[in-house]
Amino acid sequence: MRITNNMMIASTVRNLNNNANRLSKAQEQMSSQSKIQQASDDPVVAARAIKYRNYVAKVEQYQSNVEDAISWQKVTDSALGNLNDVVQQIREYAVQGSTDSLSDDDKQAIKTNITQLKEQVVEIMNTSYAGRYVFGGYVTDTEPYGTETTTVGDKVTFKGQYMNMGGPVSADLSDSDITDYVNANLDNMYESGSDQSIKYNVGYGNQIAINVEGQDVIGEDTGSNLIDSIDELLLGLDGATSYKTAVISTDPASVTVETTAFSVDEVLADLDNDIDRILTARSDLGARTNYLTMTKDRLDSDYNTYTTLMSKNEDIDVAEASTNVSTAQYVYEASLTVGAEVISKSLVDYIG
Amino acid sequence: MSSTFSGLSIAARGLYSSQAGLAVTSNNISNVNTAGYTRQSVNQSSVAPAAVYTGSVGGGSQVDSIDQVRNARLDQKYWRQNNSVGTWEAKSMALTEMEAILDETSSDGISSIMDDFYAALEDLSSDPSSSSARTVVQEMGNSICEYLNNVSEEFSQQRSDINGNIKTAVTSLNSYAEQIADLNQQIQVASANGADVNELKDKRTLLIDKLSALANIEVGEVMIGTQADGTKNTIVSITVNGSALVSGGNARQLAVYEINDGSTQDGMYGIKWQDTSEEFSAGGGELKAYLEIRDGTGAGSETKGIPYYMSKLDEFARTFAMAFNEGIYADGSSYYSGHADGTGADGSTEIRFFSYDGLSSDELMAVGSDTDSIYANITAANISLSKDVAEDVNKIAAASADGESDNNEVINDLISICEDSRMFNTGTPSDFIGSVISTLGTESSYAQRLYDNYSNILTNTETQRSSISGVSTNEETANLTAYQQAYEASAKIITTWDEIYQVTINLVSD
Repeated sequence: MRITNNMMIASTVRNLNNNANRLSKAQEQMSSQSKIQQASDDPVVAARAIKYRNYVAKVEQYQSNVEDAISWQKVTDSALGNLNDVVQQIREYAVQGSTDSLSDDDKQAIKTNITQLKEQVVEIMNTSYAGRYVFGGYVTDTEPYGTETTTVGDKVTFKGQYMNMGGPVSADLSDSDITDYVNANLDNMYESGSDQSIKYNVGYGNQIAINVEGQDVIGEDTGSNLIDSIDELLLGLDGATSYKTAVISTDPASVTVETTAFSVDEVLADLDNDIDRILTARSDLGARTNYLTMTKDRLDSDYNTYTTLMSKNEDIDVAEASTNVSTAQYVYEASLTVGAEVISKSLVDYIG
Repeated sequence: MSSTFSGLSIAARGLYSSQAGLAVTSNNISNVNTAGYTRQSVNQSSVAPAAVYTGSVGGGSQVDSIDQVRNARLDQKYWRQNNSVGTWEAKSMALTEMEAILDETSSDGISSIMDDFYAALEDLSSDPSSSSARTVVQEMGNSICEYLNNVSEEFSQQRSDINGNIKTAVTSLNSYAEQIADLNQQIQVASANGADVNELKDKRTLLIDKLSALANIEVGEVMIGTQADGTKNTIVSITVNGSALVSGGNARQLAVYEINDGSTQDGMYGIKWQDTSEEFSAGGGELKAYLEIRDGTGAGSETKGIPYYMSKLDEFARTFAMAFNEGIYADGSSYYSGHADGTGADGSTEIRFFSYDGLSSDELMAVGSDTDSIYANITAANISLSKDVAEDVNKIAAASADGESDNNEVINDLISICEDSRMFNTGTPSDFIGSVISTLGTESSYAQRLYDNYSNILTNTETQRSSISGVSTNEETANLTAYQQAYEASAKIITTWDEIYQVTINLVSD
């Protein structure tokens, strides 16, 4: 083949260009630490990169959700632990109070203690985590439990409503006082709440309820909740042998008062039920925390898997990339040197 | 017997021939770097003796013509290949620019913005009462809108840049055609006068080289006569995709006009023949590539041009906004509550999160009679947060009922919507984006690969052309030496004959 000057120059320039291109690609990969700069560099890697980044971002989010959920549940669990202690204490006092030999003064002292413990129950049920009340279901911005003094004695409210409206009151009160109170506050009566479990995403399509609702701990039915049990106990310690309850039916609307005879002994059985309820709530919570801890471990390993895959997919092998850079650099320099030699020489240089 | 003074005339012819050789060599060397220059060579022949008899000697040498060393077949090949190179170069450049606009491989493309939005929703779900979490959702929602607005704006800008390129290309095409027609005419006149047309031909070839990158051209040669020495004189005729562009000294012109038919090409340039007003079809080359990128909707076998990607983004904006706002997917099915079904922290309901042009929820719902006609208005270019959400983060509906600060039922539904593979027929929103990105990536790498391939083929042809027609200084230097020596030798012969004549004349005088 006839080789002309332009051919030599063109091919030198072309090859220099190719080598410069290769060097620039190698350097780009090295400095960005990424195999691809644009999707067209490798569409398969790019599509996978989107997928993996999405997985990693999600797993990171699930991890933070799980952490948050576990913290929430730890606070709830220790509150339930405290509540259990308090109720156990109440039960002990109840055992003491059921002893007939006890003097009235002693009974009053026990009553004072129990009243204080009742306040503690309310306080514990108002436990908050990061400014959010954990037992309030969806309503976390106001204290779920409160105590209000009414014409029929102190009543506990849940989410602003009387939770034991028809609950035991002193038999000394007249029926009309009780019905008047009930009728006046019917709008404010707590009726069994809807399921308000706060759910967090802890995995793809995997939601878990993080909270324990107050009514599942305290109970909500008249006659079988912790507050009613304590109120009965307090009445019993005052020497009462019967209490009155209001039976409220809505259809047709009617309020009737019932008188029930009781002894402190009988309250013990109720308290045992209350303790059982608390323990059930606590062990249910424990099971969920356990599940979360397992989920956390699984997410940690998912995170490792996906970040490794993501890195393998799009990150460069540094050793390989730096070798590529050096090779490209060497080739480029060599081609510059040779190119400069070749195109500067011609027969003219040798003719005298 | 040869004539007495024939020696002198043979030597003189030798001088002329060598001189012509030296001149052609000088011309070649001085044009070594001239674009499009074709190496010339001296066509030299020996002169037959004046009379034929035994022992007669030839009459020396003569220059018949100065020829171009050129292979016409290679030119045709070059033009065909250059057309493909033009097509794919323009396409791959446009597609690379589009990739840069979508900017997916860096960590701030749409899929990472979607991930951030998703994370913000999760944070709000874990603490619906937090106004900072609400603000983040608002900001991230706004980022999605702004990203889509920007990309759409940049695509439109690129589209109008390409539209401008089309006008420039048409202007160049007109100018090349005219210059080629002029050269045809000059060649015709010059060759009729017997003048040398080599340089004019070179110029013409160079122009056709350039023209071939713009459109799919067919070049034919028409013989217009034969010179005295038998060389054929030709002029070229050029057709673009079957329609005549240059014939002889006449060039037809193209005109651009603004399309005004309410289609997606509205406001863009159309191209027609100035004389017949027929639509122009480039058939290939840069012009066709520009038109395809500008107008390609991807329907059927059409190229996936800018309108295709814009419509994909529009589809994304529309479908995502409808699913997020109403909980209704493109196929009309609904699996979760949407934003409008929820309750904001201030008790507001029926609030739409996404809207367009900053319309409030009420204004948005008033623009159409049904969901589909309302959301048909949303495009990637105009999607925005609704005025309500943009002004008050408490309007973001996380809850399913009022007054429950930690009710996260609706926000959980929204999260499920964001990762629901039923939203698009290609899967989740990020799957949809992923498939758009990988379509673009694949198209772009295909265009680059074809560009590289055709460039290599073209380089090969260019090398062959250069090998035949290019100037080699080594060869010319060697020729220079040869002609110089031949010249010196002829001069020496004249001296020798001179001495011989001296001797002869002196013999006579004695």
